[in-house]
Amino acid sequence: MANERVTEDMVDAAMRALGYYDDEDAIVVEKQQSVVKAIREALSKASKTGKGRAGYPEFIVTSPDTPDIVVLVECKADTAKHESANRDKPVDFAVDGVLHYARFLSPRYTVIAIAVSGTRSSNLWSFFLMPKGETQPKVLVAPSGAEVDSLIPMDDLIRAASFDPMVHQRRERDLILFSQQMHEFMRNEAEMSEQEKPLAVAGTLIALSNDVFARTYDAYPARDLPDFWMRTIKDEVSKAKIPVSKVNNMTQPFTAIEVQPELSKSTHAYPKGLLSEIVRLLADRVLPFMTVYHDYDVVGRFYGEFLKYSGGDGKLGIVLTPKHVAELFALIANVNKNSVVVDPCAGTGSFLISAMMQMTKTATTEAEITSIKKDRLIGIEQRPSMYALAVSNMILRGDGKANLYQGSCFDTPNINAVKKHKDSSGRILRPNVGLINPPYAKSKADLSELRFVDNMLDMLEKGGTGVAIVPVSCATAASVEKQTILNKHTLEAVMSMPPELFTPVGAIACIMVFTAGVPHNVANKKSWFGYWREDGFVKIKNLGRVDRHHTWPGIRDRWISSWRNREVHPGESVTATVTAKDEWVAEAFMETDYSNLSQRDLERVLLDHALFVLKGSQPAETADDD
Amino acid sequence: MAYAGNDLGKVGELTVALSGNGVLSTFVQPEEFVTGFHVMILSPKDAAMSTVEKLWWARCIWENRYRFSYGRQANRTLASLEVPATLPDWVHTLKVPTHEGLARAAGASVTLTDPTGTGWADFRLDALFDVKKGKRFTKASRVPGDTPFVGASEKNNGITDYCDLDPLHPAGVMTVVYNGNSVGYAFYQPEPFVASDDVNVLYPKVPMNRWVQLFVASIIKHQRSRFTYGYKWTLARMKRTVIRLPVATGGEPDWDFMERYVQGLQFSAALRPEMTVHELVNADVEKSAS
Repeated sequence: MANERVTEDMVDAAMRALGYYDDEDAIVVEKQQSVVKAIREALSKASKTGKGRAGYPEFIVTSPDTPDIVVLVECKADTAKHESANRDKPVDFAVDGVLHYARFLSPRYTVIAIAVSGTRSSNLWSFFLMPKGETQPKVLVAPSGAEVDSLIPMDDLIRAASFDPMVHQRRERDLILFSQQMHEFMRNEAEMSEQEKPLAVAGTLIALSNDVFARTYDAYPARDLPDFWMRTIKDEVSKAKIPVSKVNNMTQPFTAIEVQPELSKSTHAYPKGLLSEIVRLLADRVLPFMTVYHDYDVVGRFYGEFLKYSGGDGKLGIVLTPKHVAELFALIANVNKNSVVVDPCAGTGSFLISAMMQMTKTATTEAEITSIKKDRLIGIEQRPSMYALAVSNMILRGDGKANLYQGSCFDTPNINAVKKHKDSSGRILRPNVGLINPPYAKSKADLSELRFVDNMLDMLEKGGTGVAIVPVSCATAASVEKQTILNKHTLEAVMSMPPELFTPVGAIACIMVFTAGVPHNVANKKSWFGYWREDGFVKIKNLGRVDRHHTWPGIRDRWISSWRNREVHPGESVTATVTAKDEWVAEAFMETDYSNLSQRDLERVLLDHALFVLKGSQPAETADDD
Repeated sequence: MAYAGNDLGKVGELTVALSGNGVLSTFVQPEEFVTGFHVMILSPKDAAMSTVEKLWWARCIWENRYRFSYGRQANRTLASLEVPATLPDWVHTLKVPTHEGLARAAGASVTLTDPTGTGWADFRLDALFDVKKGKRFTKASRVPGDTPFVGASEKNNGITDYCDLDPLHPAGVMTVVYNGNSVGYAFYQPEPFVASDDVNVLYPKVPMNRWVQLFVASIIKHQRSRFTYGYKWTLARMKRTVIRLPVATGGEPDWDFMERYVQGLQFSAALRPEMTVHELVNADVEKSAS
């Protein structure tokens, strides 16, 4: 009879060859039992016979950097025992067994379940993913879209699991909930203002990126930690090699946090002080997400969470770009490793980060990735605290040298700095992509949204692509700014966005796409208008708008492909020749889709009218207002 | 009648609201029900009491609303409320309208032709209608009266209020909401009315009867999805909006088809001007009796 040990040894050898045993701190491979208490507890009633005793998978692999993912391996000696027809015989079959164990762990972990059977000469491998909170397995798929069919390095396994949209979403949800807890904590315990909270988070994350701080903060007494915290931030920012004047600009807002009296107080509940507690919470809950969840705009996410409660910022014209719109921008502009991207109203830097993600996807060498991060992302931000957040965001995302300027995007020195931006070797790299979400509804007439757009377009090299999200009124109302822009640049496209996009702020927006430096009448072509009103997101209490039904990737791809190919579909998109006098929106040109007009529509109108007539057109009984 | 306690309500019992804005609102419940805290249930002592009689008593209770307010709720005093000692004879001759009676069509059913096919054509709204803007009247400037006030509503034919202003528009035209969540809702107005500035009024350039205008109203409503708070259906935009209508052989709108089509739909009999509710109900009773 075949021996299961042979199979286990084969798996062990495969892991060894792929470096699973190289760094004990990075990857923990355990057999049958785990030292992680939560895993042990979850498996303690997981026996395959279903009798409530403990279960022992052959391998349990974890990575402390990714505490929410567990890899389980179950072996069977004979390939005939690989998988049963209904996957319901966990005692006898490898696939059945590993999925059985996975279900015990999936309430708390995202599980990668691997079933192996056979010997060196003949064997079968199956890879499954059970996202946290799910009970049904999915086939594990690499980011490239290919099914995983042989053992791959741990990093790649984790990447494949992280790539899964459901895992992605679950993490996003966890992080939002955590940021809400953080908000409550900072408000109730530390009496911090809405502006200070994201700074405290950003500063702490920067400090935690310093190894010494991460290991020793716990040892500092309450009154000494703020000073250590501040010094670490300054060190880290200096390491980022931004000019000295900028280091001061950048770190100044954090000093306001440093001197918060509540933070350095030692209380009964928090003997080490509140700052220490904040650091601990972020170290436990957020840091792991950043190391793995690579496309995450953490600072922006937190900032958005805090903005929601402050309420006032909407009126100040600060409209935070939703993450999926930032992603859309990078795709509309079709950025790649050769792009040089500028955002003159950088805010928390979310456009730059999503552009960076998109650009690195097209890079093939380490040097290209370095060039993207160091030389190809440029931003300007006026408000000092926001500037500090943007720089933090870039530093945390691995941008060694943040090309972020503090000041007004209308100031000549800043404009020149962008136009004459040089890479590390001194070569001029003028931006060829501009992304902007300008401040809305500034009361000063000369600061209309379109002036920001015009200013951004002027920074780009000829033929560059500018993308802007602005209130619909900018597109529909006749304005001098529209004419000014068309005199110099070509209107390529306008997309009408979902009305609730900026919930809870009530701005209705559209995205405009321009080609810089080519006057509209010289280009002499039709513009493309998209009716992008349904992004599939739904409003959920406490979470805002979320892609609950996982429809966004499909909708996004359809939008982007129809834009890139200038496709025209009734009810969705249309092309038209426009001037500054016209309305630049799909609604004005689009053909109504009558194919869905049915008898029910007419019956509805008739019923309403008949009921009204039957009721009699007399003053209502009561003066109820509804 | 007696207070029936707070358990499951039975078919045919009356509910009376005891507090709030709707104090003394009284209804005959057609199905089993549960109620909230501030609702009393009345159960007829005479088990054979007809629905029409119950509705009469409900109406009597309703007439006492003026006695109550937030400060004085109806809880304790309801049992002592006085209602007429006897009910008039004519109550016994009334009949409750039925769904079947009301839902009848005025004409034979007609099949809708394919709106994307060649039997339909595009027309600019301002080729068919004179489009006029409503006028702004603040709530404070309006005194209650009999003139329908059409505002930005999708309910009750767009009528949000009745006021004492002189009507500014005649009967027989359409209103279209251009502002707010109800943008695009179009209504045929059978009475002279006042339109608010959230509404545009469509005057037919050629004679169009109620049936035809109801058909056009539903086509106009079909445009709803393209307008939002950010992109309102302003007068200028409405004038140049293109709608699609069935056409006759000459390429003109086929008004006759639209009229016959709408007359073939449910509830159209209720719109025949010569019919009263009671005639409708009685016609139904006669029909089902025969």
